[in-house]
Amino acid sequence: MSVLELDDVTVAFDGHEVLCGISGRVEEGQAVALIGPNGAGKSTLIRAVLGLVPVREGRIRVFERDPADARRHVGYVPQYSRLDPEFPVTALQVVLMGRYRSVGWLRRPGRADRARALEALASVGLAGRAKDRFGTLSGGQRQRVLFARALAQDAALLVLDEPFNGVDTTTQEDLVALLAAERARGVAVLLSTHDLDVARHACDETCLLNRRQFAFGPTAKVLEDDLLLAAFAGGVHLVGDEVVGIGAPHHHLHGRHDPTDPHG
Amino acid sequence: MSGTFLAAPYQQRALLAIVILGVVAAVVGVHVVLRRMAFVADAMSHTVLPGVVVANLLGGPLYAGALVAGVTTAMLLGFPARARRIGEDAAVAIVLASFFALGVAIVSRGRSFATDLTGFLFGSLLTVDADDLLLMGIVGGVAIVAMVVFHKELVLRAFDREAAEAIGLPIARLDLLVDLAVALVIVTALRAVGTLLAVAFVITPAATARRLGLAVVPSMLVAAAIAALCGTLGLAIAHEAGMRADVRVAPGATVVVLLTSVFLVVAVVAWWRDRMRSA
Amino acid sequence: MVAGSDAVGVNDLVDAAASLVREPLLRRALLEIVLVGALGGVVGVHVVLRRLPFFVMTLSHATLPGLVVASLLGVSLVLGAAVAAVVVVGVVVLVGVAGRIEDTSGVGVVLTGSLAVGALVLSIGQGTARDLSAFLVGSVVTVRPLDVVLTAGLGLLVVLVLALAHKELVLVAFDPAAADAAGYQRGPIDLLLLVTVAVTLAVAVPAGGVVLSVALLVTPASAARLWCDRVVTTMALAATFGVFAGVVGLVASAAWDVAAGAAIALAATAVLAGSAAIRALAPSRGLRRT
Repeated sequence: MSVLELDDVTVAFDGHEVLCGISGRVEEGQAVALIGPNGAGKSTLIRAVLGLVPVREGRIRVFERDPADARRHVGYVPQYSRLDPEFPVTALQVVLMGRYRSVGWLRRPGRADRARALEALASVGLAGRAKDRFGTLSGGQRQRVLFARALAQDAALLVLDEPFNGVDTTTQEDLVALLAAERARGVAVLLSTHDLDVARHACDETCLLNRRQFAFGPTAKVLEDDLLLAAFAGGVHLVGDEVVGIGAPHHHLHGRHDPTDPHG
Repeated sequence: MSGTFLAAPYQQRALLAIVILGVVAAVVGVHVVLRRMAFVADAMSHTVLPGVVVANLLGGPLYAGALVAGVTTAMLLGFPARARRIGEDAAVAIVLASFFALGVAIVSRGRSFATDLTGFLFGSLLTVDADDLLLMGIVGGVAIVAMVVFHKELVLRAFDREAAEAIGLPIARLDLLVDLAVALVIVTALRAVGTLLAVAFVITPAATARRLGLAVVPSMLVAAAIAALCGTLGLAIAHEAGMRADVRVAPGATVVVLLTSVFLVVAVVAWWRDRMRSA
Repeated sequence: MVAGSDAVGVNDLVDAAASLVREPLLRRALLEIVLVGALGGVVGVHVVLRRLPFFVMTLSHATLPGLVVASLLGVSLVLGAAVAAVVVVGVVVLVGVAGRIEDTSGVGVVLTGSLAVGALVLSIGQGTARDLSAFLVGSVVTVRPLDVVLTAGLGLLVVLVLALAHKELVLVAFDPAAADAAGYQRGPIDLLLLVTVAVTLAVAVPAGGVVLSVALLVTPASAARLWCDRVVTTMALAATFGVFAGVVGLVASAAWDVAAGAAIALAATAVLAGSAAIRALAPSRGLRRT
């Protein structure tokens, strides 16, 4: 069975269409990048895949079920910057949250759950910071902890919302490596990003969108200049005639550095 | 007034009432602080007034009226702020003022307006009886059990709402649960310290524990301890002031002033420590 | 008040309205509430735009100790409230909490703390339940001539300040980043706004009470926002709504023997509810933005 099927998906808010015509599949062990400018609907699509926003037309199937029924198997990794650093939780407690779905209501996580959480934390290299407050970790470390949370869930589909924003290069590389390791185990990956290089290195397929889908296919083919230009409608930076990066025209772009600043 | 502090049964009851309230309010209060909903909690302390007033008018039990009003408020505030022109803050303030005004309007037509109103709003700690204590124990107990049973879900929701949604937690219902727990605390506090001071027991010890940088469960324990200590001390001060200096001092208000002082001391020390650290 | 039967009737309303104009005590109350209603409406627009209702609630509770002390000393309540409010604003700005208004817990602590201090001081000063309830609910009919003069004077000052600083205040409310970029110092501007709110509360609290004066600041402004698209027109309409609620409330209070502060707050809410209902049933162009 395919992990994720998008069939001509249209999402609307208040009568306005914010996404339309999204179609594609993600199979086991595959990684798909969502690429598009700010406001393109990447987060909306992610939320739809998580079953958090309804689909007006078309269909989303996750493990051949309705998104809301497949949550058990979907691990969500949000951006670390959204979370309050003053919140009194330790890194380990955050990773443990990934076990809640399987622990269920009314019960506490048991020894096996804690072991799995520690294992996940170790795989992102932060076993030594387990007892530290989440907010005392650096941005990159926090993003890793959130990644570990999804790993601890033993999810078969990982959904990551701009996981490389504001994160140092080492962490970026480590996360890409971790994603590769998961993929080798058969886990599927869906991630949104601005970074074309990451998409090229980490994802075999790419969905290029800007409210509507411009392409969904092998990354190399999709991230071609003419398609990028079309999707980004001028927000693309050229060196000579070659597209080297994406973002608002007046930012300076240098390859892998994330030029856009959606969250300040 | 009897000589030694805590010699008389009414003082023992008063102390027990404060301790029960302190413990219950601490457990709920830590969640209120985690979710940054101090204003909502304060609003509820005002919106229960019409419920209490109407119950009094009908000759029914006050706590029932408070409960009805509290639950109504919880559900009202749970409605998503659809009117984009009216901010969430403004909506809470308007509900607060309207309900309170309604309560005041009704009670103001009565003869003993002033006494009644202050009774509802500030309680009467020294006249708490055994039945009141039993009620406090039961209602407060329900609130604590609810918080304990849903502990991990509540913490996850407070920390990362999207992730909580993503694993399928019913956010609206979890939020309603906390609102209802606050309503229960206010009902618990009604006879002892009244509705307005109840919020102090909910917010202040929990805010103090948070300033100390404690984790969630330790916060609850420390907050409860602070409340119990300040409760005892406050009652003792009120007693001694009455005995020695013949000064009438409202015991409920004294306890809250102590709780606030503890908070201020901790806040200043924490601020100083942060300044030293970053220097 | 008008000696009336327990029944409520329209005749009572008419009698009450007449007596408001006739009797000097009530005339003063009417004047005071008109001034407070207008001022509250205008300042209230900023309160709503900057998301300050919780802070305003706290500030109004914080005036309680001031009211108590002023009452014990026999001094004007407006003065007492003003001193307390300005002190709290000063403390808040000094400690830098103003920048962290999202620190709602800290603000909540100040709210209940000052309430307790006020109640405590009152009990020590042998104050009665009557006094306490008067502070909480307001007592516009016991307003003194000095208070009306203070209200008018301070009100004029506030409006002047708001007019002079109008574009800065609106910019900071709408787009703080742009304000910073344009070189505006946000600290002094915020302080100015908070002091303005404090002064308004000092004037509103003796009339409307600690709890209900918030209704005069938040409710008419929220109702006005449903109708207007520009800040200045919103302020004008808010002032109108505020005056209307004040007068209607006062008349109802006189007619039906209900606490004035409560009646005024309910009148303001009625205006809001009515506005919301009309807007919902007959949405017109210009209100919805894409």
